[in-house]
Amino acid sequence: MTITNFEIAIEKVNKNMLFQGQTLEVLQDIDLSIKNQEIVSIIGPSGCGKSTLLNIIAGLDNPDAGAISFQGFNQEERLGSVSYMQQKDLLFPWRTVLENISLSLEIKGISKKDSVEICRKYLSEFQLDKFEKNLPHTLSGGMRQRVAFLRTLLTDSEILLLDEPFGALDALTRRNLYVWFMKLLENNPRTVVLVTHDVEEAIFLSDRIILLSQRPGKVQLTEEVSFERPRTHDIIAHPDFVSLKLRLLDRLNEGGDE
Amino acid sequence: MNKNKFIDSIPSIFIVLSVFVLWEILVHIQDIPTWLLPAPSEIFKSLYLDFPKLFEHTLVTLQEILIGFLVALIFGFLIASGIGLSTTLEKSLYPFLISLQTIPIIVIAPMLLVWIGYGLLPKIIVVALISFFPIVVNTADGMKSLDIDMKRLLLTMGANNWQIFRKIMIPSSLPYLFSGVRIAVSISVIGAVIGEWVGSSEGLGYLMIRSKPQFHTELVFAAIFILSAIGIGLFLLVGFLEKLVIPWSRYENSTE
Repeated sequence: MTITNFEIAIEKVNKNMLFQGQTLEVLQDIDLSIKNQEIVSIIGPSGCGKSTLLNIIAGLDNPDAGAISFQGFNQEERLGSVSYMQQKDLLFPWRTVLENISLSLEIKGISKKDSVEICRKYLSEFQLDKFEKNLPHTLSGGMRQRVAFLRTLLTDSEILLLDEPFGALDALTRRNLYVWFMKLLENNPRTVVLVTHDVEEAIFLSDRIILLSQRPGKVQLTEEVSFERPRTHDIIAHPDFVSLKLRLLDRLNEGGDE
Repeated sequence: MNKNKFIDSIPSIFIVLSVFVLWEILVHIQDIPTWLLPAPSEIFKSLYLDFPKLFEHTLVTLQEILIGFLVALIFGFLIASGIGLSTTLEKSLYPFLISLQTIPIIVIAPMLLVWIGYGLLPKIIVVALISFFPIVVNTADGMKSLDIDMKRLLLTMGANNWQIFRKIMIPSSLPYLFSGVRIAVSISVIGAVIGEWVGSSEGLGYLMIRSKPQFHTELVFAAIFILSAIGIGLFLLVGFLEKLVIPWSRYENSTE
C-alpha cells in the first residue's frame, strides 16, 4: 500500500546501449521514487544517461533490467500515459498554434469542437489567445516554447517529462519562462521530471534534485530544495540557494574531471 | 509586391524579346525560306490566322496532359505512401519503378497503340508514365525524411501508425511532392506530344506531324509556342498552388 503513494517508482533499472559496436553501460541500478505532484530534476555530466532515463520513463525505450511503475502499477506499456517534451519545441510548422496544442486531444479522438474549446481556455489563461491562428514560424523562441509547454500539459497525463525544455533559449527569456512555468504548474499541478544541465534552473524549479554520476549513470546524490512555492527570482541570492548550488556544482565537477 | 514581380521578370522578358529580334533579323538577312525556318513574325501570324484550328487541337492536348498528370499524381502519391509506410514495399518497388523509368517511352508509345488502339487512353498512359517517376521518387523521399523527434512525440501521445502517417508523414512530404510535380508538369507536355506523334487524329502533336510534310513549318512552330506556353503556365500554376497549400514550407528550415 505504501508504494501507491508514489506517482512514479523506478526500481533497479539497468540499461546498456550499443554504440559503434561496443556495449556501453548507460544506467546502473537506478532506484527512484517520485511523489505525486513533486518536481524532480535530474542533473549530471553530459552522457550520464539523463535523457535515456527520461526516454525509458516515457516508454520510448525499455530498460534491460528493472521495472517502472506508475501509481503502484507496473507499466510495461507506457506510451500514451505520460507527457514528454524536448528541447526542440517540435511545433508542427503546418499547424497553427491552436492546432498544435490540440494535437494530443486529436490523437485521443476528442471531437474537434470540444478540443478547440478546451485549447482556447488554456490559450486565454496564458495570454496566448491572440496567437491562436499564427503559424509557428511567426513566433519568437520563447513564445514557441510556451506553446510547446501548453501542448505538453494538454496531453493530460499526471506525469510531465521535460528534457531540457529551456535549453535552447537565451538567459532572459529562460528566466521569464521559469516564472511562467511555475504559474502553469500552480494552476495545473502535475508530477514533473525535469532533465537539465543547469544547476540554477534545477534548484529554482524543483523540490528535489537527483545528481547522476558519469557513465554508467548511478544516483550519486539527492538534495531536497526547501524554498516555498511560488518562488520568486530573489531566492537566487538566498544563502541556502547559493550553498546548495556550490555543493551541487562541486559534486558535478568531481564526476566531470574523471 | 506586384511591382517587384514585374521588375524581377524584366530580364527574362528582355532575353525572350532579344532572341525573337535576332531570329527575325537573321531570317531576313539570310533570306531563309519559311518552310525551312519561319521568322517569329510568320509564327505569330500563323498563331493569329490559324487560331481556331490551333485552339481545337490545344484543347485535346491539354486534356491529355491534365488527365495523364492527375493519374500520375494519384498513383504516384499512393505508391509513395506505400514506400513511406513499409521498408519491404520500398525495397520491392524501387527496382520496378526505376526499370519503368528506363523503358524508352518512344518505344512503349507505339506498343500501347497496338495494345489499346487509338483514342485518348494511350496518350493518357504515356503522359502518366513519363510524369509518374519524379512524383513518386520525390514524395517517397519526403515521407522518409520525417522528423524522428516529431514521431517520438506523437508516440508518447499514444498515436498509432496511421495517425503518424496522417499527421506527420503526409504534411512533411508535401514540399517534396510539389517539387516532383513541378518537374512532372513540364515533362508531361512532352509525353502528350509523343503519345500523339505515334498515332492520333487530333492534338498539337498530330498537327505538327501533319503540317511538317506539307511544309507548313510556321504552323509547327506555332504549335511549339503553344506547348511552351502550356508548360510555363502549368509550372506557374503549381508554384501558385504551392504557396496556397503549404505557406509554411518556405520557413521550415528557419525553425530548426
